[in-house]
Amino acid sequence: MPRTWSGATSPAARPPLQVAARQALLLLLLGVALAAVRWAAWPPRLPLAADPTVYELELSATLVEVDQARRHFDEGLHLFIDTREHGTGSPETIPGALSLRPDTFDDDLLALLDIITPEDRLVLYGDGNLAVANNIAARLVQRGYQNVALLKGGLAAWRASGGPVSPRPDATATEAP
Amino acid sequence: MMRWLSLACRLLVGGVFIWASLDKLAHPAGFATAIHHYRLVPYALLHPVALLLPAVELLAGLALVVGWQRRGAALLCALMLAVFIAGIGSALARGLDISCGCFHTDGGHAVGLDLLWRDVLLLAACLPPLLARRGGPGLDRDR
Repeated sequence: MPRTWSGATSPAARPPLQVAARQALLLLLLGVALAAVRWAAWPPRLPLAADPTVYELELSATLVEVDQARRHFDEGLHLFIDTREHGTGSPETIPGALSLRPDTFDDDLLALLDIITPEDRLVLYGDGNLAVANNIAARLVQRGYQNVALLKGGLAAWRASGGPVSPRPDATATEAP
Repeated sequence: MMRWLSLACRLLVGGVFIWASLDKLAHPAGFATAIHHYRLVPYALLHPVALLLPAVELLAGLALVVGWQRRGAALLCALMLAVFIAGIGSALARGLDISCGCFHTDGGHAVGLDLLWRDVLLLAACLPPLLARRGGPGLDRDR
């Protein structure tokens, strides 16, 4: 194998996979550094240790079909909660919906403490699937909210059924009219 | 010829990984939820993985696009894709109805065979930049 004047193996002469492994290790270390900087400098910080109860409680909320949800909406006895991050997904939302986002859940909930009580009936939704809405529901259940339901199919199903929508406000939390 | 094929694959795989990393970097909590839905990662590793994976995706993607440490970047992307393929295959085998968490943490594509094939093709596209003697235009010397 070719060697440099100092006796070390020339990088060009090393087997490709050996070079690849060294370079991958370097990139991995840089990735760890980038992740640490992102975690430290860009709030809100995700706790390094996951709370299993938050995740175990997922799907503990009941699913509500869109027809049923529309009846709830017409009755006006339920609060609708949009769980999407601002700037993601469709620019529309269900009229009067409040906002609880996963990355700022605690702050959002604090801002809504005067509006929603643990006895209120809540219907949570995202754009189309239940991934994030599940997580928000679990956290609400953990904090004592007893009547939490997930809109099956999310806003996509709501819109497809002809449910009313309105432009999505940019505020962190908007009070229902 | 191989260097141009390598360049095309670098841009394709690198672009996909950069794009895939952005929403996950911005919303780690949502990405942790998406990972959890696969039921494969223990709780002790859930949040570290949700923080680390997008960072590595971004760096490996950038490295491929600019042609720096391209063999290592291609190897990392290939390893990540192999893990993704295993995860998606496992979810399909268990009949899980979940979103893949590939590009968007809120919603996104449901796990299915099309995603599996997409990742297999991307894995194949990692081979030219990983193994080719010359990697095409970029910052590495063996261009």
